[in-house]
Amino acid sequence: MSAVSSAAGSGVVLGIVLVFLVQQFGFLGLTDLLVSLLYFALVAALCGIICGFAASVVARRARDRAAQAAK
Amino acid sequence: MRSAVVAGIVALAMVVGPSVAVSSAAASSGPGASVHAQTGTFTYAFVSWNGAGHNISSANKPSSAFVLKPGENGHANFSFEFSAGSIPSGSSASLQMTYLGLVLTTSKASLVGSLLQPGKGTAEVNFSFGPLVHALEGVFEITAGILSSSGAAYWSESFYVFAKAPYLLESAAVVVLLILLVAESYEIAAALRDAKRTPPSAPSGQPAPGGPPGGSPAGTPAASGPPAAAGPDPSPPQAPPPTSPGGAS
Repeated sequence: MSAVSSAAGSGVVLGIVLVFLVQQFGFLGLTDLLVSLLYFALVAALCGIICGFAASVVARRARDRAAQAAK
Repeated sequence: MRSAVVAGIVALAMVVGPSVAVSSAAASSGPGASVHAQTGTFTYAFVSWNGAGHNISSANKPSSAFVLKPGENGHANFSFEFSAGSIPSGSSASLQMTYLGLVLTTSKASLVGSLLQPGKGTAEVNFSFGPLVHALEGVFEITAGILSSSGAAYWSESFYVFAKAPYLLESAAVVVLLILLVAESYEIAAALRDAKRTPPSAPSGQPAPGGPPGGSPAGTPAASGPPAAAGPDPSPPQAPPPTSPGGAS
């Protein structure tokens, strides 16, 4: 599993955990199942994309740095 | 990462699991204030929560939810008036708590007042989270309604309650979620660290500097050992395979 996909997967789980935590701390009501699933899907996808993008940016910078060092 | 996913599913089951045991078959009314005049035409109906000055209409958002302290029970006073028709016997006032589409608890009380002819009526319903308060904390929606004996709602209105856990360590669900939050943050940091160590991938056909052709997958070190033919073999010579007793002689 590459670092990018690993970061994206962890971001998805982190998004689901965040939605539950926001509800537990009193800022969100998870009453309706469909609305709750919508929250979960949106936040999980958002966190997964952000974490995967961050990992890809880090990997690209490391690759560029190594390419410059090789020159 | 897989262990964290499994832990997340366990946490979800922990949160939703008790609801399956406690859930009742009563259908929940739709969210939001609504008046359904099926039999009697309601002139007004309102519910006060834990005191005359707390109308449930003021807690129609999670941010304005009523706070329920640890060990505290809710007490709802129903007041209604209808101008036509009648309310059949067997009707009741109820409080239903819903979470993720499931009805967690239902509290009911019978109606008091003139129900067979137009007039006023009241009802008092006590509400308690019961054992759920040890596992759950947070904002929950409660639907107050006047229901027929078959569960159909004559009138219903929803409001929010913020239930506090009885312990300083918060509820069990919060502890599990915080552990998951830390674990996943560590996983993301480890993934970013692996991405930083990713060997540069070379264009197709060219070997990457310091690594095998095409690079190595992230998180695994590149094979950099000496070639097998270089230098003497440190391992002792292997003995010839034993011959079977029934072999050729």
